[in-house]
Amino acid sequence: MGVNQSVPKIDGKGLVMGKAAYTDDLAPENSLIVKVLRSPHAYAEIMSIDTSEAEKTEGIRCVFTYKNVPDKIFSRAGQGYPEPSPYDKKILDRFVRYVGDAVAFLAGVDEESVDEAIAKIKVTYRIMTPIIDFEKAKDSKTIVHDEDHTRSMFEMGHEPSRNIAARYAMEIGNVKEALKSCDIVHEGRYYTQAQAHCTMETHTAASWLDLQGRLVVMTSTQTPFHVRRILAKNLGMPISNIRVIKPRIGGGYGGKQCIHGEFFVTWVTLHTGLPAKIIYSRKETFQSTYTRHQMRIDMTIGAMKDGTIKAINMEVLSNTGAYGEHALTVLMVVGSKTLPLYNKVEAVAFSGDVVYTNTTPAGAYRGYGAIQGNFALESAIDELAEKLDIDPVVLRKKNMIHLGETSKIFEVMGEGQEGTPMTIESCELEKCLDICLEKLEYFEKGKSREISPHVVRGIGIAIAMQGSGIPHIDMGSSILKLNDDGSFNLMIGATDLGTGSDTIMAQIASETLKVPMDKIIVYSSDTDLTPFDVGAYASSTTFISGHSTRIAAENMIKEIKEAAKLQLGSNQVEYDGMIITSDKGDISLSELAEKLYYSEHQKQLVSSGSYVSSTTAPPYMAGGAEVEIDKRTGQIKLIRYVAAVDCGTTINPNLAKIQVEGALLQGIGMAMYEDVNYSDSGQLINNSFLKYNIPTRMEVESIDVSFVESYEPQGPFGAKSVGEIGIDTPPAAIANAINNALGVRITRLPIKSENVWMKLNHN
Amino acid sequence: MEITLNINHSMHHVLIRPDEFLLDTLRNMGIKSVKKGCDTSSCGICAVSVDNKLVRSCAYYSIRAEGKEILTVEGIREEASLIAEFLTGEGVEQCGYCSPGLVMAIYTMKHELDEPDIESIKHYLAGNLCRCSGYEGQHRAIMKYLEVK
Amino acid sequence: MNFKKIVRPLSLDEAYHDVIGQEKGIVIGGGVFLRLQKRSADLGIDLSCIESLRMIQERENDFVIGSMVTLRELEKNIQLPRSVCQSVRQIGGVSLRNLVTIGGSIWGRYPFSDIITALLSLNSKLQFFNSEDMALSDFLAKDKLEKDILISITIPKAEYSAFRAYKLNYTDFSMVNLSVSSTDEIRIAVGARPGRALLLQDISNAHTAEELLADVEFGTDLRGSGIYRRKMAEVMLSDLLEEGLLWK
Repeated sequence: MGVNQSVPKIDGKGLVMGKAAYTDDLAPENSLIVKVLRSPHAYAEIMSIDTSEAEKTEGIRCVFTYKNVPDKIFSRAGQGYPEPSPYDKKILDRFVRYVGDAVAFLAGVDEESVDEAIAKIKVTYRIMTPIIDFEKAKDSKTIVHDEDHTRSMFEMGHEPSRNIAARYAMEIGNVKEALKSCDIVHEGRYYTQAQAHCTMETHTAASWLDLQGRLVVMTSTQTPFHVRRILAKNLGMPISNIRVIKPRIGGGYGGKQCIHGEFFVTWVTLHTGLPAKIIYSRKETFQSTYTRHQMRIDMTIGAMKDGTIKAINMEVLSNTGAYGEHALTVLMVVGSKTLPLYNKVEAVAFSGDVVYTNTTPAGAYRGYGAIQGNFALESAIDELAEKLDIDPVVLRKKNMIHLGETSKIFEVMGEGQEGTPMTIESCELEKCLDICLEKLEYFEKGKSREISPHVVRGIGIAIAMQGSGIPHIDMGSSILKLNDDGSFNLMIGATDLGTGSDTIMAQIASETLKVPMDKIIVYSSDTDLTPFDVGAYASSTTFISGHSTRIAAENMIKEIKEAAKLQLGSNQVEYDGMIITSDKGDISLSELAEKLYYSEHQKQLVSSGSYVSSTTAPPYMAGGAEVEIDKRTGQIKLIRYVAAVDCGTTINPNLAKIQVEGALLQGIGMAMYEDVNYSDSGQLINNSFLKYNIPTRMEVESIDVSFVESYEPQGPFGAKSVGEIGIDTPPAAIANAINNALGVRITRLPIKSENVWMKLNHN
Repeated sequence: MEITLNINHSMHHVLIRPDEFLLDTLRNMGIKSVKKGCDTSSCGICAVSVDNKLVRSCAYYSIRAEGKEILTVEGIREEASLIAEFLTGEGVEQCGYCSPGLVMAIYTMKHELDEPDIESIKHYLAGNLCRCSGYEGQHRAIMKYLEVK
Repeated sequence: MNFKKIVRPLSLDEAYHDVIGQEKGIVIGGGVFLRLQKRSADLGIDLSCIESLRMIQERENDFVIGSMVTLRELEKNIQLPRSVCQSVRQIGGVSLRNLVTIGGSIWGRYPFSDIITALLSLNSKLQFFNSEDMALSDFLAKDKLEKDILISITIPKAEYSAFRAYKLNYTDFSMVNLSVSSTDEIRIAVGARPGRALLLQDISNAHTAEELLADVEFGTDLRGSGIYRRKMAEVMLSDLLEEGLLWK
């Protein structure tokens, strides 16, 4: 009925037609406007703060500083609980730790009065020397969290006195010994930047008190249940008094997997009793939310002359900025979602430090470490191939993971904890690679060719894997309710970011219940009305929440059959979707439903399903870039990007394709366009769309995505995740293509024409 | 100050600040299809049609719109609905936040370009940013829509 | 930029009266870059109601462009020298080019401007309400602008003209731009250096692109370094000289 069909998104038309759907569209008309005074200094102590003039401004209802908000320390990360991120943030603090950190917030009847009042808040700062360069942060004189106030919920190497938010190390086998026995060892150092999410809807939240005096929060979030928990704990009120609603949200990509404006609006509402809303400016979104973790990755890979890779060592330095949200887990994914690609090694080691600096905090961002790791690993593999004089594709094929195999890493490394052993039960990586090679005419055209005296083209390849949810942690649940016309309400905690998960869940319910899609009415992400779900992250929604919907639907079929037995007076009933048959006669589902609610054996049929996985079935992909470069200037044009993906069954092929196409362009943006610069004093320079270039539709001539279907036994209807995998390959594939074209290896993102030219001419 | 605006085929008397932009005026009036994406007139999300020209409502003074015909998605329901069929047919609306502005751009483009081909379409729409979809699917949808028309 | 009041004069006389009036008045062209500026003024003077400022007039040897003509109108006018259309094509997007005016682009003397570079190479002249006519190059060199209204821009016809720019993405500000025109003489302008556009002097076809640009100052900013800007400009110029077959 529903699965493997390209049905349009159930909310798609309404969104395109511009119906009120997002937080600001739906916030109460008379909401107080809330704004935040942001620190102009990268590191300072607030010596005095005078809000009296601001408070006297006409239209102002309240002004808050660190003196009159709850003094609790927590992590804003929307993750499993207890969070694998250090507790190092307060709603407002006496110390500001980056340019854009919150100093105070205030609420007024309109924007004008708030703008007027915010300028009247007088703050005296004791300015301290910030640490901006993450390579100098460890054991720096500047200690970002100097007060002894931070803590971690479990051991993660948290050492704030050394500016270390978290650290991790593991070794399987003996890497040093294995490297000694190798014919060729490649060492390389790679840098990735703190990419910005650039969701088109900036971070927005609204709150009000309902008729019962309960706090209602409507927010542009990926994790409504985590938001409710974090608010409750730190506002000092019971979870039962808070309702969090996620309406439609204008993009997430990990950027809304954290608390942002929710504390500010709720504190205002609790104090005034009035509805309040906050809409982050674009500058605030760049400067005062989260970025991808900036990283330096050192790779050592050793191989034999025949191309057998024997040992890999990966050492990471990650910049978490001023606060440590997702510090440990993103670090671990750098290794755990890349190193198993080459699972035949004798020894493999991974280690890393995540350091605090006085820059915008880093957090979750699609790829979540994997894209950083992929750039380093897949660049290094090409470099190794060059040294071995083996074609990089041949080298990959010889060493990469296949169906039925495993990697010790799955068992050793999880997210913030130990992993889970697993055997790969679906993997079409080799076929993905072959499709890319064929489409790019890799062997026919060659990796490099001259187009004209000045212009040369090159082709580069990278392969990738991701996960599907976090085993034993990520939990999703669904409730189904039969209506008196035979339709079903499907209530899910799963959080649709625009990716279409509401539609995917409806497809899964429709397939299981054997009823048409229009019989499934979806309602999602409202903590009062929908069951628990951890939220939309870690590529978990289809894989985890999807199972919960399948289970709920299977349980509903049982309920229906039991009810039908009573109605039909038979012990043998068969359910066929629209009709229930038995030896004593048949009854249609709608007839049965009507009887159940109005006439005979009355009973409300409700079912539920919950799911936690024991594995994280990786999706795989291969990506190939063809670039054209003007040798005189190094100017790079991305002619095309070809990708083939194995995400198991595509529940909705259209939506899966758009997921990958969109992720690829974000990856291409990181690879080539999205530059991040700080001034020496810690001012983020690229803080608007005038200075931060995301790709327009003109940047890439063509993106070609295809799928290689596999069947993942652990996934709902054979599906694996598809939300993140698409972002991983562009940085390495493009770097490899440039190297193949020109013999110039770029190891720092973003790859700009100027860097290529510099390297060509001033090496 | 009070001005009179012709919005989506009907006249409205609206109270505005003298230097108010059309984006705020329209949203304050409850026309929520018009979205704000940036503060620097860079993203194209707030695009509306004024006298059949595509403009960024975030930088268009409301008083300048007096005497002109303002159209948002709400005012071109039939055409927008058709365009929506094609966009949702490819699944390119993802988060949907940039979609109404894109629909307005496609609408004015259809009236402005005589013989649109993929290059002229891409150039025309280059100022409409989207962070979700990667644009390829948008182009598939638009090519199909224009062939049908 | 905030305005306490915006007036919409119907004639140039009226507009000029507002400009030189008592209140702190600022002329609004397209209004797009004004919007980004963090200051406020008592009075905004919107020129969009003055019909004569919206005309493009073709004469025997030149075009006269009203200062309120939008970049999109320039882009679509195929009669104009090619470099004018080329220079506006990648600015912002259609919905932005429908707002931004040629007059506002010139009056702002923005160093990143693409159109100024094209107009400079075409030897354009400016007409004002009060001041004498002035070459664009002189206008760019002025220390301070007096209160006045830019009425029109005269663009001579050219046998050959072309504009090139290097941008980090399609709609970004140029890292460097360059324009060439030839009629009786060859004129070459280079802009976004990142300093304001300037004209190359003493052009002779005995010189290579590198030699022509040797005295031009290129600086470093967020978008690129001075030496890279120079390299880009050299390559763009040598391509244009070849394309226009100007260096035979």
